[in-house]
Amino acid sequence: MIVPTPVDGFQIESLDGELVLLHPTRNIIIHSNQTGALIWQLCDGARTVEEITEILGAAYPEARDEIRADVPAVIQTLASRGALESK
Amino acid sequence: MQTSGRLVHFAGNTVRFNSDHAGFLAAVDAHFKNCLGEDGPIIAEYKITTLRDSDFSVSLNGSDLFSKINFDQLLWHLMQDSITQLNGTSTTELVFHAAALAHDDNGLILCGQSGSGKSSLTAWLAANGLQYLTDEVIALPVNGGEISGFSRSMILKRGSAFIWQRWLTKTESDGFLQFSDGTAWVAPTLLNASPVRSGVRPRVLIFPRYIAGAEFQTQPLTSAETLFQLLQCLVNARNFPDHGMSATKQLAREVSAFRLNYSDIEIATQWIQKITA
Repeated sequence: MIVPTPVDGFQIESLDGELVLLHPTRNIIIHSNQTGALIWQLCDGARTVEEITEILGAAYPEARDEIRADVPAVIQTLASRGALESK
Repeated sequence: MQTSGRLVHFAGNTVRFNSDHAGFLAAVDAHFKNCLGEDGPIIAEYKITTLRDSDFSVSLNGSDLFSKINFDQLLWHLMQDSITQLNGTSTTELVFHAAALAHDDNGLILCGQSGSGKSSLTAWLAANGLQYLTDEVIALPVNGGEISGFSRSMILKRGSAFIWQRWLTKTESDGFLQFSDGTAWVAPTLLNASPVRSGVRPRVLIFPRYIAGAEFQTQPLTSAETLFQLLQCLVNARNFPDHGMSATKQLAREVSAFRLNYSDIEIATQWIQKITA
């Protein structure tokens, strides 16, 4: 079970539902669109990828298939850029 | 020979050049004309010493910086080093790597790293009526307000020589200096007789990207995308407790922002003029 957990030290700014994450000492800047922002907000270090997918699928049943594809992809992207780690 | 000084300011700080070389002082007068004088503390003091055989040595705040460099190298090194000093030190203004012009009171910012084409676009736009602020760095007060530019001469690389060749008829002017590698320093008033603007409210922000052979393409950016791009051009983020995030966010909200891919400068500048008007 993968539990995506936010990496410490990021400054987070929300603009119109999108996010910009800045890690000043590691010089990382990330932009996340509205879908990515929703997923990021559910990555609390306790929920698994499957649980996050279920929560969003229940909230947006018409987009369940897209969500099933998007959640792992977004988490993978955020992890590869240093904003999430797996626990 | 008597040593004379010249003060150059930007973003609330000043640097001083001390030299006994009349040609060097004349070049500073011509190419830093719009940013001469003291504004804020003197944070760097350069002493330029003329050696034999037209070579120079330079010290910075009493420590050796360059030795046995020729006149061209002297101008280039000091242009670059003084900008680095002025950029990195400001604690009252955010400094972005960007060019800026004005159409009436509408400020246009062209934001991008070297090679993005912002200097060529700036020169072309200035030659076509927009007022010049800078082709290199802008400063924005942390509480918002007008942007100001480091209004030195434009620096046009060899590949952009067609721009000054098209509009410049008198290259004997003190405001025009061509180097052996084909690069030219061009005083903005040689391309546009209007006075250089000192400050203007930001209205339009463009992230240009020159791609040889590319189709002209524009894309409006969301505020978050704009903030993301701007943070990558912020030079002195480390000087601020929030790393400039809040003031940059405010700027991102205030402006209309676009990504621009182009290969034809005439098409690109026509579009820029239309949306800036």
